[in-house]
Amino acid sequence: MSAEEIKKQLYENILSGDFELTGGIAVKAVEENMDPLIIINETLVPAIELVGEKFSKKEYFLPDLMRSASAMKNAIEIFEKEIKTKGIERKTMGKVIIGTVKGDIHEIGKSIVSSLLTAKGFKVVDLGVDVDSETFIKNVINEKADILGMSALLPITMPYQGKVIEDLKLKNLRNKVKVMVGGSPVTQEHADRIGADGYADNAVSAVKLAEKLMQE
Amino acid sequence: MGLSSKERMQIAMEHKEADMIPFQATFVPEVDKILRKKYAREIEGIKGKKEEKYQGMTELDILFGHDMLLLTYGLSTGYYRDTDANAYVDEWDITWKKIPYKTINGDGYYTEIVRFPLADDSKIDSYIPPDPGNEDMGYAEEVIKNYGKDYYICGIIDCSIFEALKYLRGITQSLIDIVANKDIAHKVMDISVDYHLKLGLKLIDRGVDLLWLADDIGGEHTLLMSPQVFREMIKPKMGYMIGELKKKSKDIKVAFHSDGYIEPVIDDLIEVGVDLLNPIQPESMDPSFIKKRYGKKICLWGTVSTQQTLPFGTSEDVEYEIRERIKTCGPGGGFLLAPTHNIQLDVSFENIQAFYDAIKKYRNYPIKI
Repeated sequence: MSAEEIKKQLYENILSGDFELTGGIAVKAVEENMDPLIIINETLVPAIELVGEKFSKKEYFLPDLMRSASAMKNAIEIFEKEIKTKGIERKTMGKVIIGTVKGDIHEIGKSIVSSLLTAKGFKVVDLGVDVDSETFIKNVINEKADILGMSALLPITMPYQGKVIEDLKLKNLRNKVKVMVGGSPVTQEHADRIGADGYADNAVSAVKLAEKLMQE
Repeated sequence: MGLSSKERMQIAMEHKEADMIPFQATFVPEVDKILRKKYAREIEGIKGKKEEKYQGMTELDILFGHDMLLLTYGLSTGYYRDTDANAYVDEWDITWKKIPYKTINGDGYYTEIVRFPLADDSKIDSYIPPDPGNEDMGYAEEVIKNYGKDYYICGIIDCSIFEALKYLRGITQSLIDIVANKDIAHKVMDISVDYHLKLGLKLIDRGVDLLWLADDIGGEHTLLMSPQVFREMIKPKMGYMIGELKKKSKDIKVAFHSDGYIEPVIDDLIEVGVDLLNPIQPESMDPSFIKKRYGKKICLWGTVSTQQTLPFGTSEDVEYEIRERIKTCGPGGGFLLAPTHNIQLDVSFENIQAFYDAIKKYRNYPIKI
């Protein structure tokens, strides 16, 4: 397979979400000694961005997005390993701590945001679900995070996003980290009320929001 | 003498105006318990039956004047079990865990599935689902004996198709399955179709007026899957189930529930024979638009926000919302007013009171708003 053919196949398989194939193609790219950074930036990222665009336009739906994110993940894991082996570095867009708040074990939205952020070049520490304030804050400190992302899928767990923000203030950390919130019952009004820096109503806009927050 | 609740619902379901707009509501068990205690004296003597497995709340239904009574059966009964255990396994081999929460009105819990029995592909072929013959029909028989003449009776056979896939395989896996592992998706969904269809047929025999199917296929502002995937994977199974149910009884009505935004497939639901659509969450779809666009072909059930207005609104907000819904969805019948989900523990008693007061104030036909 030529280098051009490899790139084309990676691009197309991410777009169609054929996740079982992308890992194998990425291995071929590495065997061909192709530059992993160039492939990520010029092939994988544009492909996943197009997927995001299609999702925003409602041409793609959640299963399509998840499939493409998995395809992307399978390829990127192989390229990142190669990047490490070669001792080079992928430019980080920023560091994000992410999780679903305490009392809430819904993971799907948070996980999609997490994979799309990773795809875009953010370093993401995904704390999983049912995460308490102490754990969020400990990780914000230890990881020197730029952004804290919190998901809540129940009206009853939404206020906990506010609690974590209050706890950040108590520890004098509020101006050290940007806070973004999401989850199906969450609204811009809620985000404003609890003093978050941003709110996004879907995974694609969450990535755009994270990019915007990094520029502020 | 006025119409009975049953007659009122029957007329509404024919897209006609009865004497009043029918309504009903359900509560999470925590609220149910508080209300039962509060109204202990008033419900004394009202016939009811609460079984371990089912969310029966007949006494409160009668006291509050709900026009429709619900009988819960099938897969979704795993959600609430009256047990002290923190985690339990139901007859589908699903492991549920209680997740506690606190509100200003007290503490409660939701349950979440922590082990999906068919998450592993290799378990599917040897899986033995429960036998619908083991469902206790005594509960339905008793409620229908006591109330079937005067009240509209709804048999719940929800989590029927796609929801069952989520319960048995996990939501993440299910969303992948319906586009990338279609054989597995069909196999697992058919297990549930078979089970809930048999259950529905039994409930028709017992005398229910309505059967309620449910599959959450909507996200907050978009479908969870493309309309094409819905049409390929789920719609034919709905068509089969509803066809068989209506073959058994030409009078049986069928309701369908999906949270969230599902507008692109409402015409498909009408096509497969859904008579009543629930819950039309106002955060996701504008009930007045749905009424205008689809209201001649499908009845609406729900529309009062349990996500925003009931927990976070004032009692005036609650009254305003009910007034608006009656004004926009009530004309011409075909409307069963209800909260968009169980009333939750974070809803104040004042708002519950405001809900009932506003309904009483505005529900009469002809609508004078």
